Amino acid sequence: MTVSLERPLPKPALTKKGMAVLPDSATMPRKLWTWDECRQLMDLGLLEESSRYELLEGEIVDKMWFNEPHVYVTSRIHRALLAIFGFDHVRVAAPVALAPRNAPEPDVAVMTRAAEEYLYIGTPPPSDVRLAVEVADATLSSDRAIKGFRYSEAGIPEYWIVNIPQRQLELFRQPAPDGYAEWQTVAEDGLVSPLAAPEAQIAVADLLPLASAKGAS
Amino acid sequence: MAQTMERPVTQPPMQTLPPIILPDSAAMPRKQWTRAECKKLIECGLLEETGWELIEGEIIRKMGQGRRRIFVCMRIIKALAAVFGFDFLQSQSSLPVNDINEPEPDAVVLAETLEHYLDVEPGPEDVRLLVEVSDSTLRTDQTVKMRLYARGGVPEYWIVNIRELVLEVYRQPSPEGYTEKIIIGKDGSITPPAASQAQIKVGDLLP
Repeated sequence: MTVSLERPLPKPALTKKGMAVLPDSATMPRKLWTWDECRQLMDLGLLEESSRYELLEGEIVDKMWFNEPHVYVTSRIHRALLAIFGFDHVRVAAPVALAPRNAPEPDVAVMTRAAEEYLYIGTPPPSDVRLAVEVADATLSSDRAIKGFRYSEAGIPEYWIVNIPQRQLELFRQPAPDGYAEWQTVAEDGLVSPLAAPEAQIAVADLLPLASAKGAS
Repeated sequence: MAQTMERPVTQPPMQTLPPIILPDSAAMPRKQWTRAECKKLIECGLLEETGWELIEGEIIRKMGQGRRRIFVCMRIIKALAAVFGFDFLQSQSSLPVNDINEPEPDAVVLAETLEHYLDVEPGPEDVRLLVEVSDSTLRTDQTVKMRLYARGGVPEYWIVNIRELVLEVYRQPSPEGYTEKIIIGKDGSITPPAASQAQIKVGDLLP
């Protein structure tokens, strides 16, 4: 069962330099970093627990996914996708080098290359991503529009948001410079097929926590 | 000239207080840095020496000065120098408050002359009066920085509000912020408590 979303991920307002502005960085502009600088920070040991963070619009943002529903849903998505694409082609919470100041870490991503190739070529470019999936809980809504826009701009063919509070999957396709041109929501009782494996089917309910666990965090 | 200095009696216990939340950092927390890490970043060439402040662990880029702000800053320096003496002032210099806070106030009146601070950086306990010039930064100067300076025990904080052309005077620091706020228009004048004989015309501080 599919229902149209009222509107797609809107294009965020961009500065003259083409950057989106994260919440309140307009009045308190944070120091901006590049992905190259972030790798230097990791080498210097200045970005401890670097998996906690992702580079979004030049800012080193705490992913804040230390809540059980998020961890649980991420591992369910991982399981569903590796059943289809194989262990070597699914990455969890790993960066994609979208642009000098953007290296978001999709919660789960399906890649064209096998995992070990990135040991040699380094952080994957967006052209290697076949499907990016983000888990959305109540606290993680403000960055969704910006990430979705960046994934679309970079040409990632498909983007899913597994929306825990609304118990649905939001699906975006047809990447364009202004954001994904096609979108739909798939309700909890629906099935979804990745573009990269149209014959496969995933039940949205299999990705979500049991409804009775809704209030846990 | 300089009056007798009045240090705050006690420093509020910073560690036990809840953090000051920067606007929207609750919803999208950024990487937190310490002053020591910032020093290392500078050494490694990953952070410029100037042009930023460390506020509650976040590296905040300073807004461009603009001719109006430069003009107002110099007027403030001139007015404060007439009361306290030029040697007691510092401008646009970092003021370490604690491990995760190093703001750069627009003007500060220190307890001792600058010569005393050649080897030791002055902290909030050395400050008699702190002044920020606010236009686009007004909201954060009134909230985040106000609480930060109050917690640091800075006895008096002025916001030269060049958006509304008033002087905001904050007194009586407490861990929650200043408990006294006075707004003075451009025709008024102010007596800094650190110099009880002196009067500064607010008009002399504004553009």
